[in-house]
Amino acid sequence: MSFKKLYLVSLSCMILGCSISAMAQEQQLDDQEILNIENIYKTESPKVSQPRPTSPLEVAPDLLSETTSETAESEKQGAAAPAPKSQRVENLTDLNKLSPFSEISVIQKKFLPKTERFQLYAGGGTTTNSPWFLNMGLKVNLGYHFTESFGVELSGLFLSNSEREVAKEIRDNNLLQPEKFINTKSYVGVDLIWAPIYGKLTMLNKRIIPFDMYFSAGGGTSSTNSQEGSVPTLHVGVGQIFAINKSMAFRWDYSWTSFQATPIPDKLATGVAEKNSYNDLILTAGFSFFFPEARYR
Amino acid sequence: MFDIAKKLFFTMLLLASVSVAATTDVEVPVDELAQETVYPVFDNSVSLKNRNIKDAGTFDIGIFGGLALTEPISNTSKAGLVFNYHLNENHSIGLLFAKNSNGLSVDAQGLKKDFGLDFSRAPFMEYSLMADYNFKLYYGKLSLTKEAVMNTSLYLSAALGAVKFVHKTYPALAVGVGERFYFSNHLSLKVDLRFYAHQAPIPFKAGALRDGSKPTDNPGGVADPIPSYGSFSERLTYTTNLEVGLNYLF
Repeated sequence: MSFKKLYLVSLSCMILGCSISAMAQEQQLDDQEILNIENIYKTESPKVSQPRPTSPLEVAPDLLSETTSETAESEKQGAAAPAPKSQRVENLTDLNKLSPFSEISVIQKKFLPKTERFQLYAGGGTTTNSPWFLNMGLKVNLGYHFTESFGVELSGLFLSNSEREVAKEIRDNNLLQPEKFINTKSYVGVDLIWAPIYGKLTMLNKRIIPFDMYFSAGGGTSSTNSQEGSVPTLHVGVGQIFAINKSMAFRWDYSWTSFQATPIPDKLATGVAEKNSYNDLILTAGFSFFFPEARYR
Repeated sequence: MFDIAKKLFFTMLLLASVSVAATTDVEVPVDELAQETVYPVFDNSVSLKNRNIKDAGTFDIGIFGGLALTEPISNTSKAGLVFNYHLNENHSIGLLFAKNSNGLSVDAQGLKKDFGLDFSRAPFMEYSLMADYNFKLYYGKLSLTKEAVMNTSLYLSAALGAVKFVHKTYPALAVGVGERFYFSNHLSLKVDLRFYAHQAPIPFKAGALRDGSKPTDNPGGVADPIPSYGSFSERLTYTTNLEVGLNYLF
């Protein structure tokens, strides 16, 4: 064998040997870690305690039987969540240090987190309980959520006022002035938001839509055609927020406002106008935008 | 010739070892790695594997109370019975019967007090009977402050039937949206918002409502003669109804 051949053979053997030894070293490390885990389980079997029921969610057998693909996914994600910060999983052997579950929730992870985020809502709607006027309008809310359940919201509602057929008929046939019946032009107020309900819906078994249901209560002022003009107003509401993505949602809101006002006397009225209570039921639907960016958990 | 073959063999061996070594360290750009918000897309996705509320082929019966929110004259409250058959998980049909309360609305009572207009002379609705169809578009579950879980169903409704006034019956159509909240696999709270459209008598008949209690523009406070129900003209009327009830599935 000539020198050249000897050189080529030795060179190729060195390179080949190095690469194989490197792979073998990695393989040995993997094997070593697996062996370590096996040894841990052989010498000290992990204590797997049954999760103690902490809420009705865990014990309801019918709920456990109802699973969705997303739930399964969430529960898998949730399974890794209880690891304390001090027990970061950096090696395979660290998996043995994870704590058993202390709590299992049916719906573990919210798709659209709201904590420390603003919500801007814009929707169109109408008053659903006014027999005399058709009130169409726009509602704009700006809210801030302290937690997933609680927040505050500034609310503005602006309504148009057009007479329904009955208002024209009572004017034409009975000579009254329906334009002097109390009606609401706008409302501005602030609410405390409480969202104790969240869940998810499937649309014809094709798509999952997470949603929140909230209640609101607060007060403000309504601009009316009464003698007082603007009157203090109580407000309560209920609504649902259907997540489209992590920063946008479809929302409907059904609000009840109550105030006291004195109507401007009709030309046919014989007595003094009295102050009475008036209520509006306002249904709006639109879109909510959440900002800043969701903090991924 | 033999030497050339040997050289080729060792060269190939060298190249093979280099390529094997290269595959042990694969670098992937960060932006190509899956993020948390990336979900797999399936051709035939199934959102719900198992339902708590198995209503396909079942019946439900319920009671409800309601308000005709935009009724100006007659008493706005009503109560009724509902009976449904669920064809499958998405469609149900049923019967809806509602009995209207007698008397006047708050607005009509005010008009009587302030202007002496007695709208109890006008025809009023006695009851309605409708065939109801529900398209159950959404089904899901919700958590109540993490303490309890309820199932819920959102649906669109369309009803066709008749409304019976004191003197006449008119065909009626109602469309709406509703939601059920299941307390158990059988008992549910049902909320419906329906928009009714039907012919109805116009209660604002000229020269027929003044009861003589107020002078107004009627000299001496003379009462108008009491009209017959049939003398009131008619038109298409729209009414918004809010109904809340309890249903039992069996």
